[in-house]
Amino acid sequence: MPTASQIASAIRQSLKDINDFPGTASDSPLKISTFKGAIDEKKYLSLDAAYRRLANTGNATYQLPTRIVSPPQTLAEVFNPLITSAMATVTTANSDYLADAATFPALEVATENLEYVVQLYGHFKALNNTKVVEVSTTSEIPKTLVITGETGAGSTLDPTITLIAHASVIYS
Amino acid sequence: MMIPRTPWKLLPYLRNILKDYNYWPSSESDSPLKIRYFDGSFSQDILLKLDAVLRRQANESVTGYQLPTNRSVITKSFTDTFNDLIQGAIANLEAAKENYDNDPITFPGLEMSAEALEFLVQLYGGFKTLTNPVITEVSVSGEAVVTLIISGEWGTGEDLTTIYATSTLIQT
Repeated sequence: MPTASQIASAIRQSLKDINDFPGTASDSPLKISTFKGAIDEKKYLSLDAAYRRLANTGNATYQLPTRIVSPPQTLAEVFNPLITSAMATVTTANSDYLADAATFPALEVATENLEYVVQLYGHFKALNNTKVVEVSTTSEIPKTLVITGETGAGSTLDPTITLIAHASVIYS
Repeated sequence: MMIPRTPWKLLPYLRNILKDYNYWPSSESDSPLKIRYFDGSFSQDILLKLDAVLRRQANESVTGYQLPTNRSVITKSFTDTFNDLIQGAIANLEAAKENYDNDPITFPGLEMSAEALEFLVQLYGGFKTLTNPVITEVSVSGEAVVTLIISGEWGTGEDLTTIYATSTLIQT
């Protein structure tokens, strides 16, 4: 099995072309990082806090609202609908392209989007104990999306390393 | 990623496309493309020289290999060739998606098909930005080795640069 940092750099490479998590209205580039140990509630909240503080830069009186960490979803639950929808977009873009070659750029974008979700899913699927969590609040629209997976056996010689993809997302 | 509008940026852009996945369809062997540039436009003579280098390489295990005298240079429509390959890749992708929906264990097939489509669509998109894009095949009757050259031009007069991809295909 490749190391967490090898997988992290493979994911970063695959995010170079396009990095826009589907279904989001905002530009939601994923950031990839790794850390030693397993993810816990505290880590979710601290990732989320960084995004919320960043979005409120300049607001001196900003206080973090009460945040809700969603129950974890499986990768399949999150990615399968995204893949199906990206695939439908490719099929439509291809019909448009066959009818009018000038629409080629839309086929390019649709293909890249499909490749993006499929690759991201593929990379995380290779990890152990994968899950997808969202951190939300009742007062603010952005949610923090956190996709994680682990490598390592959890021993001293082969410690657990968690690989995280995270983004602040606004769903359209 | 936006397709660059200068040849010096187009070269790394095209090379980057080939990083993840680099298999030209319609070959019975792994046929990776290589991207290069040439000052000036291609003549029949230059196409034959490119073929000579690749053909000798493909036959390097043959002692005393002589370049055949009956090599034929065939020009194919850039658009028609890519369109056929893209439609083939979309059909493969749709089949792979259906397989995946029936059995998630076939995910690697979906990954591969998505990469194959992206490879073709991005290459087509990249070369489309050039003037006079064309596909040339140099073949010899009785030899399975076919030299593929995808080329397009940038600039005019003394500043004309040809950007091209070559590969050695095996077609029996």
